Amino acid sequence: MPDLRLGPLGYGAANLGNLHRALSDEDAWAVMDAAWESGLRYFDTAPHYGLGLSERRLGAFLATKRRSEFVVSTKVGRLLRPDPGGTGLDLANDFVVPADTTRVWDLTADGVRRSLDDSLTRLGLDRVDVVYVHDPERHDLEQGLAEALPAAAALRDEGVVSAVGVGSMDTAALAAAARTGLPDLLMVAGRLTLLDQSAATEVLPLCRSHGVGVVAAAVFNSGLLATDEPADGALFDYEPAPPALLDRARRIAALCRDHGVPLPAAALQYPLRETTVAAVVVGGATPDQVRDNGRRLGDPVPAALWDDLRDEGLVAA
Amino acid sequence: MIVDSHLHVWDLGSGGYRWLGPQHGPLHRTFTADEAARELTTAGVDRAVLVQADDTEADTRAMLAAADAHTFVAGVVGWVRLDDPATAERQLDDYGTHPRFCGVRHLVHDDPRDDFLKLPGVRRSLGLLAERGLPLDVPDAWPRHLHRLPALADAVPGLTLVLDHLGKPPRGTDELDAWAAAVRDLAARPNVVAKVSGLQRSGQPFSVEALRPVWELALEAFGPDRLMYGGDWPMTVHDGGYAPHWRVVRRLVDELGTDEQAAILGGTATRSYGLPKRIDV
Repeated sequence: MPDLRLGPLGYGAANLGNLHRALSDEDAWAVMDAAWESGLRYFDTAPHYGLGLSERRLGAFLATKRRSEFVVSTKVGRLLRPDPGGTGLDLANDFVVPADTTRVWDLTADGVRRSLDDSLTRLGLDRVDVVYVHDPERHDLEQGLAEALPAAAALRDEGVVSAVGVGSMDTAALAAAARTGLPDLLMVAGRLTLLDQSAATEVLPLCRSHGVGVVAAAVFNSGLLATDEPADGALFDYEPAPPALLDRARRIAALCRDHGVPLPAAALQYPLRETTVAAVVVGGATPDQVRDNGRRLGDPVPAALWDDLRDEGLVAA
Repeated sequence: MIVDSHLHVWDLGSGGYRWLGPQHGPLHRTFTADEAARELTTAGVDRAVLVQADDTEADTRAMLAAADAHTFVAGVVGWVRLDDPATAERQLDDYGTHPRFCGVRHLVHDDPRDDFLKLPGVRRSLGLLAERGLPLDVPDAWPRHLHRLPALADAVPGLTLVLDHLGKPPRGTDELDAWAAAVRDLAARPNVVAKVSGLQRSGQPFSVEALRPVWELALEAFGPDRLMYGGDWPMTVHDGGYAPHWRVVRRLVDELGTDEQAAILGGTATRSYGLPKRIDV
């Protein structure tokens, strides 16, 4: 595992790319300011988030900070290309940005280098600390692991970046990535949460075996775990949660309440109990959300809550 | 049941052991599993783990053949080409699936590469070992590798490291304190165990009192649950062979409580190497 100061909490910058709702540049700045004031120093972005908007906004903000004070990661896999014929908004991908740019999958070694170069330009930085191969299973997992990941590892070995990894919501892809022995980090999105521990059994043992650190993202599973009381219509993995899952979330919430713990605090702290987890990354579209997350990290969670969740069969371990 | 966690056999007729030559005197001959069995029986030791004596596939295959023929062989710590992960994986999928194959060792102390255990290819192979639950034995870690092992233990928490011969303490030299500090540092990692074996050192007495300082350091640093006895035969033939060494270690172990004795004389090895509780013939 690389010697990077990531955690315990990082800011995941999908919201800065207008995920689900448009933020003004001022709103976005206020969110980043709140993250910084809350002590967060690890920022994760991607070209995918708002077709480059997240990277541009994050870069502009980080330009006001000393480079040695923060750690930043971005992702490779999808190149952004101008699309003069593109009309309307990028709503198909849940981003409220003009669709005048398009994503082109490229998991070749050359594509990895070009993607990183483009990201550095948008960020206005001369280096990022971490680069993840983003969702390779959505295009071609085999190529992602045979070409893109080794290319990223070569960038690390040349000193261009400090650490490399794979970011995905897919445990099979993450497990296969760990097995290559190439990644320093895996960004596990939504699969190591109070509602979904599939990575705990399918990925984390391989991480311990291969010396891979884990960054847990989407720990609220898109929203279902983000409020004290999971609401009808709350999202799970970007979709409205099915009734069985909503019911389980409410049982978890009830147990949390019994122990005087807000559900989001438990959701935030749950992955950090694993020793391989280097950081939890959470988003936030308002300064208040970001500040709340920073505070929830310090909320006391009695060990008895974890025991009860396990004994009730609500979490695996 | 007493388990010796560290024993060697070799057949000079098989093409040889690069490190072993006429200069080694009584060591420079074939040592068979039959002879090992007799030594163990005489000493009252029930089982043993055979440990590789050269970085060759032939050596490992010979030990696995011995395991098929002798019920005293509880496990085999073999060799795979760690610096070439593709080959290592092929070997692990081949003879590494033998039911007695229980761990891997590479003669790092003879390897000219100081950073061997940090090589990217080696690290990838070590991940394969960890995935299969196979520990890595590290021979003669003092002085070149001992101080590098804590970082390895931290980086790969799923890998069990076995420190052979307590890292080979430089008894009778002024380096012993530095060795002790390095052992303490390493022992702070939960995924490290150590062998009370191979403590002979030329020019130094091998007696209860001579061994006591390193023995007590090992007990304090690792505790009995992370220590395992090893005879290191036939490396001991210069100094009288199996039984005299065993008697010295046994007297130190006898000073402990029953559970602690059981750990050092079998429990730790059985757990660390995943040895069978019994062997059916």
